Amino acid sequence: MPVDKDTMIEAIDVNKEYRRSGAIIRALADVSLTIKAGEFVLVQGPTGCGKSTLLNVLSGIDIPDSGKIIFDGENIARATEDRLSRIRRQKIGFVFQDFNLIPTLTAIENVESLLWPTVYEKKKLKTAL
Amino acid sequence: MAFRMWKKAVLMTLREKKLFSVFTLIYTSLIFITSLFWELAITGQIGEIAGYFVLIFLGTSLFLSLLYAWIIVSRNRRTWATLKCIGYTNKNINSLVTGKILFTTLMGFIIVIEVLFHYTAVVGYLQSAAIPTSLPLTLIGLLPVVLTSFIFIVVQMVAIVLANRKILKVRPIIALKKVGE
Repeated sequence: MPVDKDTMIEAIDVNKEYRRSGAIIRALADVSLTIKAGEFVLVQGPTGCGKSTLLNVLSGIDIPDSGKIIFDGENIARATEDRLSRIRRQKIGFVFQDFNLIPTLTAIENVESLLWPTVYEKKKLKTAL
Repeated sequence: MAFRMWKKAVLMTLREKKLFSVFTLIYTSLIFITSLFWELAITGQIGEIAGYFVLIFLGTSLFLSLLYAWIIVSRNRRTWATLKCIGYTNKNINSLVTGKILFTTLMGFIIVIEVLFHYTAVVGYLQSAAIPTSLPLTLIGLLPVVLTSFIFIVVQMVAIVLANRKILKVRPIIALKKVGE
């Protein structure tokens, strides 16, 4: 549980390693941070320092090798894939660098596809958009 | 919920024109030929060999169904990963894949039944117009078509199970990798 009730994300001793061409790359080494609700946070650093990896593990897209990530009171580092999907759907917004549009859908369908699993009525779908 | 996802699966399938056309055509041909040989096996017109042909066609349909499931999952890995990123559960994506597979098979059946109806209509017209023809009024009976449909559905279930297992292995992080990485 977060120490402070205003804490939205808390990372505790997070580690993440990658294997590339036989070499082990330590992307995150004992990272700890706290982000409060409504806080604006900017992550900066040289290429390859682990910024993307940090964002990926904080948002539940990637799983850390060790450590805890408390997201809104829940440790997402050990959550199931479906639980992570639900957290991403309800609490996290993504802006993809490469747009990641679904080629078989139109522009409006790409936007509304986010709501397909939860909003069943067409009217409600249009209102939500 | 699954029904709604199936509707979206139909939409996505129809937009993948090439893949959909090719597999619908293959399924249509296989269903037609399997039903025809089943009819011949039941009526005993070409002997035991018809039964072997039925087995060969069913084996082929199993192979093609697995291939189609594999193509659907592998070609769209980035799409499935993106959907996982924006909050789709494995169940949601499995519903989409299941809808795609079943819709293609269903289309094959509809086309076969449509062809058989038209065949009967044409032969019926020729006979009523007293135009001599050696063609039977019914090319394939109901039983072989029902048998084929039942077995094809079982085969599709195997393909769906394979596709669902593959979907579980698609990690959302794939969506964030650059194209070609």
